[in-house]
Amino acid sequence: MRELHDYMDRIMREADLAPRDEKRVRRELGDHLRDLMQSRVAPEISNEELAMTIEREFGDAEELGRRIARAKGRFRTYLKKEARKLPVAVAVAVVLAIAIRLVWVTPFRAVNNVLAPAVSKGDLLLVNKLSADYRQHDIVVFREPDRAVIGIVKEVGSDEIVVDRRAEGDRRVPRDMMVGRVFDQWRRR
Amino acid sequence: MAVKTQFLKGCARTLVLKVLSERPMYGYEIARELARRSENIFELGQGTLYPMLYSLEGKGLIRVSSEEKDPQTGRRRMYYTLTRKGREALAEDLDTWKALEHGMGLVLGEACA
Repeated sequence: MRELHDYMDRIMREADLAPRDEKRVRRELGDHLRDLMQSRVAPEISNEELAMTIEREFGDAEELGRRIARAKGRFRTYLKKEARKLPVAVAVAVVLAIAIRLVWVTPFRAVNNVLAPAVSKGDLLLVNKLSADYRQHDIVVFREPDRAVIGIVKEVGSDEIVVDRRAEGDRRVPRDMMVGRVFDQWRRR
Repeated sequence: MAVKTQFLKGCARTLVLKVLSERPMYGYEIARELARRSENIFELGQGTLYPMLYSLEGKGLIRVSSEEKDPQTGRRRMYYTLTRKGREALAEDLDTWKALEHGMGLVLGEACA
């Protein structure tokens, strides 16, 4: 029944529904039309006559499509279509966040006041791991065997950085133990 | 003709709610039932039944109560049924209809002593 198919396509083009609604409406209307044709149409009818009968009995396809779109609510349909994209957007955002954290930015929280007033206990520090370009007075984070440590750059050498830890004195940190430079800092209120 | 179509459309909601209040039915069944019981006055383009069903469903007056497969044809039937809100709407429609019928009768009816 090619005519029936074409007729349904015209309705659906005009109705422009969310995929799940479209599937349901297509099946429901299609089954109704098949029932109707079975009861009304002689088997030897020409294709042209069949197409005309469908239109006469069921109504103008475009008009019907528009009315279905209105009944389903165009705004609701828009939201349903957008909602389908949401899981993908969330997944992309999560993967992106993990990737950024792994290679680019890592957050640290200061646990003491060793560097006060520059850094106070509870401050959140965002560290750029990709920047190896340290300058004097930069706040940096570096690794010690059992912890991450913050400090202020005092001198920059080719192999190591001298980092000021105030009362604890200076540390000579090999470049490969540096985590990165703090580029943003949220002070704890 | 346009006036008649509009008038029938206005009544169709009440009739759809009425037939569904008797038992759950699928679309084709509703159309057939309306045509039969109204002696074909309500045999409009049958497709127009669906926008109405979807709109009533959207307003919470009817819902799909079950989906069954016809063993003979293999077609899946979606049975619609009235919700509580639908029954209330039907009762309201019937009251309005009775008042209308009474009023029309008073104006159009022949006077008799």
